[in-house]
Order: sequence, then structure tokens, then C-alpha cells
Amino acid sequence: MRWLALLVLWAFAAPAWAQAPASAADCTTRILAVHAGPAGADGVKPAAADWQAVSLPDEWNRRHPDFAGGSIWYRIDWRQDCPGAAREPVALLLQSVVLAGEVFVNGRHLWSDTHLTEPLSRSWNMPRQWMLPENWLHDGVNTIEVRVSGVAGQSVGLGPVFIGDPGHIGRLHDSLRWHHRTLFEINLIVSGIVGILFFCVWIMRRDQTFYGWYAFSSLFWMAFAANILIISPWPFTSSLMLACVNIIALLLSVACFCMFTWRFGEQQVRPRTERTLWSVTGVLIAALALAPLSFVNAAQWAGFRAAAIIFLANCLQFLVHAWRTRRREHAILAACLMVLPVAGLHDALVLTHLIDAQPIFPWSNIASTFALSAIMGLRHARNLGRIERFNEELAESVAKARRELTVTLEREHALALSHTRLQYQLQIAHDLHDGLGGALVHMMRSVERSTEPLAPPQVLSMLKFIRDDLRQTIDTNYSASVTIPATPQEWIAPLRHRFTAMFDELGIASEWLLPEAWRTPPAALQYLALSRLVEEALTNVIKHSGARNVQLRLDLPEADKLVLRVEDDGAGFDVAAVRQAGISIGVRSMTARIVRVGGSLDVVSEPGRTLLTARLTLAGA
Amino acid sequence: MSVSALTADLVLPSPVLLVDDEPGERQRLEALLLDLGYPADALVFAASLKEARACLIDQPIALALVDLGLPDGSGIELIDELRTRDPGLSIMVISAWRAREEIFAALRAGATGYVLKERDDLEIMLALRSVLRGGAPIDPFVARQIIEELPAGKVGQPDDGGLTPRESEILRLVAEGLGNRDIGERLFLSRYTVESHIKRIYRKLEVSSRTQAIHAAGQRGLLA
Repeated sequence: MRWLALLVLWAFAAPAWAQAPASAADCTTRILAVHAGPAGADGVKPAAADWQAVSLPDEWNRRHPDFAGGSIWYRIDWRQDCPGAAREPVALLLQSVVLAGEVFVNGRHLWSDTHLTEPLSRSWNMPRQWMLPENWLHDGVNTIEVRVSGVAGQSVGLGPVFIGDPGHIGRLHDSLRWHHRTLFEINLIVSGIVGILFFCVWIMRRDQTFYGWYAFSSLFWMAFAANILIISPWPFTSSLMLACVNIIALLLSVACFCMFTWRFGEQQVRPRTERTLWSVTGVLIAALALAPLSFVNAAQWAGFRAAAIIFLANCLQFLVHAWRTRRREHAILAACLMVLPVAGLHDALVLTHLIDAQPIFPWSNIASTFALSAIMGLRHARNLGRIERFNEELAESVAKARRELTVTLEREHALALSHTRLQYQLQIAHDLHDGLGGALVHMMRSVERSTEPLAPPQVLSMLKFIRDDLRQTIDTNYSASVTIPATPQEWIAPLRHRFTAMFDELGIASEWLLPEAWRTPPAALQYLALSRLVEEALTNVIKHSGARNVQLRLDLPEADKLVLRVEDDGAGFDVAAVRQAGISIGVRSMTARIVRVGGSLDVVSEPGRTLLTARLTLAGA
Repeated sequence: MSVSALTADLVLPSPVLLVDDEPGERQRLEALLLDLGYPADALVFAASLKEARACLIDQPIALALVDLGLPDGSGIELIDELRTRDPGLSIMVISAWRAREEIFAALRAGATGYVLKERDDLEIMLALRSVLRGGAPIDPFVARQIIEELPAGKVGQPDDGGLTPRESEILRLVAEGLGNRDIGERLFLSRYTVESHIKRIYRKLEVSSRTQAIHAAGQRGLLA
């Protein structure tokens, strides 16, 4: 792309040599003649016969293709004509010395490059000016001699030379420096910064390959364009090697740039095309690196032209691509790419004097670099925008999912709640069936079997029993204290208190013998059954026995055994008759209940001693 | 065992205010009170808070039996009013089911005992008799609640509103399920001393709840 800038220099784009116009003072400085001739051995000046008239800028090797390296002498004869006797100060400006050289004024040494032998210094794009010492000059014709050193196969010659009024020469020098150095320094800096910036972007976003290709293209371009500015061949050991490396950098830069446009434009480039690009590049690089000395020049030119053609072709094909895709981004890039060939064409016309203007390539190069960066910035901004939109969409869908989840959870919670409620109802129904239902069935059977009409106390006793069962069911289901008491003391405390209060009123002595702790806590149903047993037994004692002493005793003989004894010294009853006739509904129901929770109930009764013994097997937690 | 045997040596405080909205329950309690020896004219009935308040205007009473669930409000309100009028009045709660928190709230309002409706006549009568004889019914649940509610008093400061060591001891034994007589035997006290301790505990509970109410009112700026 930007190597066309080099073309400009290569072709010695500066204006043809000129003599300074008349200065503000009256003196006029004129260049009378320019001669050139090959140096002799050890760089001595050519013999008088070997001088030949030339015009500056002069490219010696163009007229002498057989130039085999060494030095060329240029002799510039000039004179200052002043109206008065006094001479004015004179300044000298050399726009370029290809490739290195030294300057003599009237035979006196004025200046020389650091290296006049390989590796040569590089003054080919280094405008320099000097004040000519007053006492070195004399009236009439003065001579400036420039010895130029070059290498075989490379350009050798002398650029425009200006002699004249120091002020004018100074301005000219500034202008030349701006156009031939500062502009390229800016170019280089811009390319470098952009290259590093996009390299960093690419490192972070490896999938966005076009950043990488652009970065490499810029960095290779920098390596190439540095040739314009360097004045020492370091670190290379010969001018030829430097030139080769230069062209290699150019080729790589162009190849990377092609890859960039393809990736950026999302072009469906056939792999074969890419392979071809890299094969051509590879072959040319190999040729530059390996060609024998005599072919190096040809290889350089081939490499340079190939790079130019590839670049131009790519610019044109992208124009077509942009036309097809009609995407704004592509159109801008295509326009941007076309700036460079157009600028190149313009400068070519300038060089051939078809139009009269300053070269615009360095400018257009900077402009297109900025434009390219702007396009990529746009792309980046667009991607960021897409990410932001994606984030918004993501947040939206997360919120939606959360709402749905909430609804689902609420539904599940409601389901679980109704399930729990159902379980609870089932539990109550179960309790009612097991407790009340059993007692009711039992009582109904007793009533059916009974041959005599039931006495009111019996009916009352049945109803009370059912009421107590009902109360326990309700207590168990509705009070918060469904948990199994931690100790036997805690279990018996409410019953004990309730009955001792009554025993105290009735003057019945009671004794309560319970262990300090459970060995295995009974299950909930077991402890409820035991509570009912104690309640029923003690109620019977109060109502029917006329006892004076009651003893309740709980033993835990084994880890999984529980024995509860309730003994009184009351009137007693006929156990068998009670069981048969169902006089006491309580005893039969209690027996059934204790059996249901995995135990047994023994009743022994005689006048003066009645003993209920309940045995339970505890299943453990 | 005959009822007459149970009613011997009873001093009957009268008149008795019976507040219950259920006619059946009222009749049952009336029968029990008559059995205990009350003359019919010593019994005053009310079916609502409004009626009860009307009765109070007419005459002073010596014993109140109050149902908690009344058609025009909670019996706890009435208990509070009764206690404010007469600090020495015996107030018994007649509660339907064993709603323990409600009974405890009634005790805090100033009730001196309670009995559950669904119990046998005999059991209710024994509870009534205990109250008439100056006893103070209590049960393990209530004892545990009081232990949590009232702070233990500091040694040497008997009247700071906290429980004395003896009172704490008695409550602990109640919580274990011991009857008042057992407790008396255990602590070498008469049963009546134990009961007077319990009454004093109830009094402290009531005072404490009133103090809390005043404190709360002060904090809310209701009292100047």
C-alpha cells in the first residue's frame, strides 16, 4: 500500500536541480555547469578527459548499468555576481546523496558521511545544508565537488543541489526536511502506534483475526518504511542486505494486508487464493534471501513490483466486493483503499511534470491509516454495542427465567402445602379411626351382645371414654407439644399433677416411681397410648375403687423394654367378667390399644389389690 | 364417695358471678355449685361481657367464674377489670379446650385458677373446692411459663418483683408434676403454705404484666 511513497523517492521526486533565484540582496548565484566522472583507484578524482556534463538530479547507474560499485565525482561550478564589490554569504544545500558521500569546496574538505565504504552510510533521503566559509571562496567561478559512493546493482547518483542566499536555502532546507523526513516520521509513528494498538486488541480477542493481520501489516510496513529514514545500515552489514530485508518486509506487509481485507470484509476467499498469495510471497522472499549477487537487483525489483501489483489487485477486488455486499463498512474501506493508488497516480503525474503540484502520497498514507483505524474502531464499537445488547437481552431473559422460576416454585410450594395439609388430614383421620373408631366399634359390639338393657352409668362411661379419646386426638393434633417428652418425669408431669390434685382433695395417697431418663424413648403412638392408659386407670381408681393408696411405677428393665404398673388397694373387680361382659369398656379398649402399639396389658384384680401391667417393646428412634 | 362428703367444712364466698354464653354449660356449673352448697340466690349469671359488667354495677361479688370465649369479646378483658376493682377477688377461668397460651394470658390478667370444661364433673368440682378452700390451681405448663417469665429475685431483696428462692423451688416441683401436698412434704411446709406461695406467685405474675404494660405505655408516650 504505502510503499508507493518510496516510489516517489526512488524516482527522485524532488524538483529538478535549480539554481537559487536572485536573493533580496542584489547578488545572484548561478550554477554554471555540472560534471561527473567515475573515481579512479582509491577514490581519486577522474582525469580531465573523464568528466562529462550531467544535469542534476543525476542517476549515474541509469546511464552506466555496468557500474560495479565505488565512487563517482560530481563537480559543480558556480559563481556569485554582485553589483558591488562585496560578496554576500553563500549557503549550500544537498537534497540527497546516493548513497553516501563527501563534499569539497574549492578543494577543501567540507563534510563527509560517517561510512564511505561498506556498510555505507545512507544519505539518500537526508537533505543537508552548510554555510560556505567566506575565506574558502573567491571571486569568479567556485567549485563544489561531491564524491558519491555506491554499491553495484543499487542506485548511485546525486540529487538536486542548491547554492545561494542562506535565508532562502534555509527555508528550502526546512521544506525539504518536512516533505522528505518529518512526514515520513509521522507516517512511521502512526503506523507503529496503530499496529501496536491493534496487536494488543488481537491478543485479547484472538478470534477477531483481522486485527492481527492489520497489526502485522502495519508493523512490517514500519520495518519497510524505516528505510526512508535511517542514515546508518545498522544492524545489517551491507547496503545490499538491507535492501533485501526491506523488500521482504514490504512483501509480508502486503500479504498481511490482503489477509486483513479478506478477513475484515468477511470475504469467502478460496483457500487456493490464500495459498497462492503466500506461495508467491514465500518464493519472492526466498529469491531475495538466496539470490546470487548478480540477480539481487532483479529480485528486488521483482519483489517490489509484485508487492505493488498484489496490493493494487487487492484494492480493486475489494472495490468489487464492497459493491456487491453494499455494506457501508465495506464501502468506506474500499474508498479508503482506493485513496492510495489514486494518490500514487497523482504523484506519478507530478513526477512526469504532467501536473504541477507537491506529492500527496505521504499525506494520503497518514489519512488512510487514520481512516482504516476509524473503520476498525467502528467495527469494534459495533461489536461492543452488540455485546451490550446481548447483555440487556441476557438480563431480560434472566429476569424472565427468574419470574418463571418464582411462579413454578410458588406452585410447587402450594402443592407441597396442600400435600402436607392432606397428610395432616389423613393423619387426623387415621388417629380418629384408630382411637375413636376402634373404641366405638368395640362399644357397639358390646351393646349388641348385651342381653340386658344398658345401665345409664355404663352408657356414660362409654361416652366419657370416647370424649377422652377425642380430646387426646385433638390435643395431639393441635397443640404444639406433639414432641415426645424428653424424660419420663416430663411425660408424667401433667397427668401426675392433674391426678394428685384430685387425690389430694379426695385424701388418696399416691406414689409415683419413674426412672430419671428413657433408655429408648417410646414412639409417639406408644407414649400417647401410655398416657391414655394412665388417665383411664387413674380415673377408674378415683371413681370406682374407693382406694386409699395408688402407686404408679415405670420400669425400663431392658434397653428396648418398658413396663408400666398401676396398682391400687381399692375394691377390685372380676377381671374375667369385665373382659367378657364389657362392664368396663375402658379396660378392653385399653388392652386393644396397647396391643396395637406393640405391647400387652395384664390386669390382676382382687379385693384390696388391683394391678395393671403394661409391657411395651420399644423400637428405638 | 358422696358429694356431701366433699362439701364438708367449706366456707362459701358469695355471691358468685358465672360468666358463660352456653346455657348447657351454665346449667352444669350451676348444678355443681349448688352441689357444693351454694344457695340458688347466691349465683349471678351473665352470658356476655356486657351483662357481666351490668351485674358488677349492681352488687359486689366474692368469686368469679369466667369463660374466655364470649360473644362480645374475650373473658381476659373482664378478668382484668375484676382484678383492678378488687385485688383480693378469686377469679377462675372456665376454659373450653386446653388453649394453654390463653389460660396463661388469663393468669397474667389476674385469674387465680382455671378448670377445663371437658373434664368430668367430679374433676371440676374438686378444682372448684380447691379454690373455695383457698387453694391455687397450677399446672406444670403454667409453672414452666412463669419460670421463664419472672426473673429470679436477688438475695436480700425480697420484694423486687422477682421470684424468691422458695417460690422458684415450688415452681420447679410443680413443673415436675408434683401436687401441692407432695411439694409441702418435700419442702417441709404445709400444703396451705405452698398454696399461699402459689397465690403470691400469681400476684407477682399479674403485677409484672401490669408493670410491663405501664412501662410499654410510658415508652409509647401514653403516660405523661
